[in-house]
Amino acid sequence: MTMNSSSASLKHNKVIHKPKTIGLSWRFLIRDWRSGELWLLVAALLMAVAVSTAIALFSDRLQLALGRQVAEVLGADMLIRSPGPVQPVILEAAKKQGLTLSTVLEFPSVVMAGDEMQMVSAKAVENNYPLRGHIRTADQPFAPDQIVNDTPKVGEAWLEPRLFPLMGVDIGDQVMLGNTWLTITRAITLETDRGGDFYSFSPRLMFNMADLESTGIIQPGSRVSWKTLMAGELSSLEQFKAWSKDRLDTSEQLLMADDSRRDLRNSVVRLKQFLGLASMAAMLLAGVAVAMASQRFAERRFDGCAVMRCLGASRQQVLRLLLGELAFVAVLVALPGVLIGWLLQEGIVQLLRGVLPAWLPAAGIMPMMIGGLTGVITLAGFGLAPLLRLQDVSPLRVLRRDLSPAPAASWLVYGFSLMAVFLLLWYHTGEVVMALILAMASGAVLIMISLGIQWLLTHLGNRQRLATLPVFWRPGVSRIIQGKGKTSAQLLAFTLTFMAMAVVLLLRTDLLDRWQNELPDETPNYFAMNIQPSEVAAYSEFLTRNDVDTSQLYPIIRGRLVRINDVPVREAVTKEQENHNALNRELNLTWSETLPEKNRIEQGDWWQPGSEEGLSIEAEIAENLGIDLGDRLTFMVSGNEFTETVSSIRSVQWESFRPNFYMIFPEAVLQDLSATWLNSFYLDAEDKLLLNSLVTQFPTMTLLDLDAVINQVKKMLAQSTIAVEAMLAALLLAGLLVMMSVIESSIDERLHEGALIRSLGGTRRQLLIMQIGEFVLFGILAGLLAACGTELASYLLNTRVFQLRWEPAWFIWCALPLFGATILGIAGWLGIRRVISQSPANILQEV
Amino acid sequence: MAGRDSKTRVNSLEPIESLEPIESLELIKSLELVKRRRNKDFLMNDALSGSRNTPMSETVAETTPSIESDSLAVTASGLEKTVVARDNRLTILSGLDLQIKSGESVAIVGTSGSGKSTLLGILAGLDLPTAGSVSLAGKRIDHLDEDQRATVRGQHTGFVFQSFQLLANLTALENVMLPLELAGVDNPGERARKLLTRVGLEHRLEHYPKQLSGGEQQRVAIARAFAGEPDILFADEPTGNLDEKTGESIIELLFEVNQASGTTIVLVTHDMDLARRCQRILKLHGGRLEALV
Repeated sequence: MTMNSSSASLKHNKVIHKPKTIGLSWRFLIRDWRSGELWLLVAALLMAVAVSTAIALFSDRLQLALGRQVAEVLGADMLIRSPGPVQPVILEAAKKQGLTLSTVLEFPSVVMAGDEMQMVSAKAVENNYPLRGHIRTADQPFAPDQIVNDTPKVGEAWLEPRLFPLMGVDIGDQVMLGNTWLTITRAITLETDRGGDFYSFSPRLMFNMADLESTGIIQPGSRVSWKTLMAGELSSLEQFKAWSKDRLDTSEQLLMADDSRRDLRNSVVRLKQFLGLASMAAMLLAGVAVAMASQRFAERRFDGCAVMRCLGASRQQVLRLLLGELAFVAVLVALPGVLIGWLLQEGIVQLLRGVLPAWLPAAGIMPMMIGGLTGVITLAGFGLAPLLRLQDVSPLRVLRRDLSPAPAASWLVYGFSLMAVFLLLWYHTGEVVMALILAMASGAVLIMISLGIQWLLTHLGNRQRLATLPVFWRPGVSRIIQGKGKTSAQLLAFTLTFMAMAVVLLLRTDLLDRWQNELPDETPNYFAMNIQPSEVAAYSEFLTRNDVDTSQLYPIIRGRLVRINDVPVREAVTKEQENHNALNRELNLTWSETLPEKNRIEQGDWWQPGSEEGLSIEAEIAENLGIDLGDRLTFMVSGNEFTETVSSIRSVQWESFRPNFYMIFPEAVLQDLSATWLNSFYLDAEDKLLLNSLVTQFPTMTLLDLDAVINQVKKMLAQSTIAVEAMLAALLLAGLLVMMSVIESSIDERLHEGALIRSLGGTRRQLLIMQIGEFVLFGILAGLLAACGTELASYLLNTRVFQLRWEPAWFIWCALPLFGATILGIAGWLGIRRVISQSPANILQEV
Repeated sequence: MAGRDSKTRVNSLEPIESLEPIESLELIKSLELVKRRRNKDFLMNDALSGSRNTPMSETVAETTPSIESDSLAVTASGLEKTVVARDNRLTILSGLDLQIKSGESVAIVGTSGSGKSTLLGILAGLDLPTAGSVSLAGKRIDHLDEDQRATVRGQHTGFVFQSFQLLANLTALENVMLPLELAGVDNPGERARKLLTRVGLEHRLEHYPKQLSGGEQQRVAIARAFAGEPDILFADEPTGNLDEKTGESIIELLFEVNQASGTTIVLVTHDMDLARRCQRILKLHGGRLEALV
């Protein structure tokens, strides 16, 4: 009785609340951080968040940059094309939305200088033209040019270089446009918005809108194209677009910047794909590092959990406590991670400053949120499975240390990881099916590698063979074979690391080669058009005489596509297809007996020389208009119709800067139609004066200077290369992190074993051989497995994603095991120095 | 569990008289001792009463068992433990009966491998017997699940281990705070500090276990064991990892704190000097207990 009341009085003093797990988790976090238990996990998570944020932000901005490149083609984000002034109410509404406006007028006209008369494409611009993109001008025709931020002043005219020899004028001379005289002040070499149907352009004359009235050219009924350029925030543009939908009259056409700039688009898309892939690889590695780190985190808590259970904590309480701690880690890492990611992305943007537009708006908050969330997903996906083991720690472990919970079930580990991979892929590709397929493919590769590892370990695990090994190799080899579960996890981590690095390295090389091939040094930088049939021979002779590199000459016949399978084209296509550019203008038809360079037949066959029927259509337009092999297309040329059956579908390399065509026919089909001719050639800077005599000799010819555009693309590719290399560096860093986490996760066992061997009389040297030997062996095995995986992955990626050619990379079969052995040997040595440097007594006491 | 249900049920119905006879003189002596100690204004009481006047949200006293069963701290009846190792059934405990009174100190001795630690694990609710019943502080625990047993452990027991089992990433102070924090006790830091001062480690509060000597680590462990004001303290070879002198000082401390708080002590050891400090010595032999004293 006494005892009872005594006890009760004591117990009454103990005030117990429901334990506040969150507070306790926070205290655990502080304690673990202070004692250095968390750094590996934090580093791995930081990596995942930073890389993910950087890529998300950069992709966002790259997307904007791509939009910008496209906007340059329009000279605006959006424009209204109309035959006359736009209704004032529309302009008012646009201004109210905060959009900047600029009006441009284009019309054909004749310009005079002395006795010379020349047809020009005149363009009247306001002072704020262009709203997007830029103009390049030179002080003299065919002299080096530069970007300018102004427009022709009142009374001034800028002329395209080829107009100078054609009219025999120089800078400072005057030309007459309509009723007014304008002074030539500059040669205009590039308007970024002069894309589209450039084959029909007359040479450009640009002047100030203020002079328009005095020219007296614009009369009611004149053929004038009005463009109202608009630029502003995306949301304002969208709002205006929605508002104006039913208010524009039929002659007013609203155009948004679409991705018609194919030369840049393909390269940018591939760069994005590559960066996406590299970032996925980096995140996968960060995930592996997180998995290894959380495994170590969990294993180091077995004893602690047992003690807590022994002290009365329930399974749930322990689990909640640790999960709470990790949730804190995820949240706290997300903030600096996002910051580092932002800085990384700023670095990449700085590298690409010459390419990305200066007005590039800051990326939204979404990529940063996603970056931060990646940390949580990575931690949950890769780190949760090992941590869930903690709830199975038996309190009896306090008496029997050998009682460890069973390893996390494979399906749990892989299931969670693949789920995380799927979520990340989903975000980065934006396509759920593709993400699912990729995640499943990753899963299949993972399972194959795991099976490979199991097979390898089973075949290595021959006891007799083991006995013949030198004594200091035996524990390491034995550990690799014995601890199958652990070894598999570590080997898998190393294999994935080497594989990710190798795949990205191979792809990078392929990608850079491809870029180099697309734009070799002597990429044609001039297009010559409107060459009359009678001039073809003389023109070819001129180029040959002057030793100019040139492409094939193609005839151009302008015609419209009027019927598909005998149905009028407007009825044959859907509402969306109806807006396709090819249906709204004349197409450039050509004939050729041979398949043009850089074209590839996708379906059907190229015709035999001399064939009298057939039509080869470009793959993209065929897909857009739903045209298949065997369809009958009817064209109208100069009032006459003819019909041909599609006999082949071609893919075209648009970024090649060579003449490319939607429709090609056999010679016999088009030979009776009147044509002008076209080709492209390369001229280096010193030979540019040749253009003077070329233009003088062939006055009706139209010459297009692509130097500026090519340089722009080349510059972008060169700088994209730096971004690719930066990504590779990030990947290497992630790889090193994985190695460190693997080594750290096994350090206790190694320390213990090392200390035992030293206490049994083993020398430091012997110990070093033993420990490093094990890592070298690991490196060789992982290298071999990674070589298999790399071949498989690079084959799939090259052929299925990047559309690049694939060849087996034999060198990786030697390079990867060698690299693996070296890098792991070094990393192992760095990691296990403690085993050698510390006194065995200390270690045995500590571990 | 299902396999041993029938047997457990039979054992639980056995009348208490059929168990090992209680040494009544020892009981009276020990109860007298507890009474005396409790009346003293001992530091421990002070240390453990930090929030004397704080309103209670939940008290352990609410779960205090009936008076009748409360006089027995630990009861085991018909305990059996068999393990299967490499297809061989190994019987560790066989029909073992035991009663330990509140406030009593009992040493369980035996040769290595005789099953001392297994018995301790079962008595403390860390493990389950293959058959038989176990009560702790008057509560049957052999039919409880792990989490329910954890609650009982948290309310009634304290532990001291041979390998100290301190959490390496926590300081001495934090290690002692741990059970208080887990139980949601108010002001755990203050209490832990007083307990560590009591075991003579007031200058080592912020040290990590690896910075402490073996003796100091065991002192921290003792402070932690008593932090939860246990009714029963289980100790597994508490001096096993210590030299003789340190071991002695630890024993002194253990019994001093024990007497002050009136806790029941069940310790497993093969150190006969330590065992002799207990009121009763039981020898585990052939899966059963034999009284030595």
